Amino acid sequence: MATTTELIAWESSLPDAQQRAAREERAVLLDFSAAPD
Amino acid sequence: MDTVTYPDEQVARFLTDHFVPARVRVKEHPSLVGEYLVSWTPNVVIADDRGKVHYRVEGFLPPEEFVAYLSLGLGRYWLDRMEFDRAAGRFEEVAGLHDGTAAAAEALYWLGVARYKPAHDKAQLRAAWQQLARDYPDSTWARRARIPDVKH
Repeated sequence: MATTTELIAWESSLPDAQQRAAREERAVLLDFSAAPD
Repeated sequence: MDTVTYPDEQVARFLTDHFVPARVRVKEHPSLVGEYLVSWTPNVVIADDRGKVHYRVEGFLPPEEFVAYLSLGLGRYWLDRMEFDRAAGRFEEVAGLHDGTAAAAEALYWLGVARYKPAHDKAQLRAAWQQLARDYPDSTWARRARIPDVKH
């Protein structure tokens, strides 16, 4: 089965995501989650 | 979410096509947890590039339902930015593709708002909310739908 990291290219930091969102006129999706066990 | 929802191709495609996704591990970023008022995970926040929150999805959702709420949240994002046609398009999509769900009822509520706002046309509001009352009479969104007397 494909993993999450293969299907979704998560930005490495919130500032990076916000900068890209501003450039591309997109919304930021922030996934708050517990660290994997 | 990591084992069921995010590995789903439909979810990944929708997320990649419409958002800039970022992941916050809560124990590593307590300041962001406080800033975004995250009391529980999973917690998905739709925000703009300045950090303003436009929608929030809390708790686990299976793939199809998650996509519906992401689309709904995107509609709220565009509505807040006064991009009414883009917002209405999202709400129409949710109401159509996810017919019979709680997300569809919520979408019809906001569809009325998105259609009303450009010209303060109560007929547009009434049409969407009448559909909401007809199709989802027991939903909380139908109970919330009252035609206002004043402009917003």
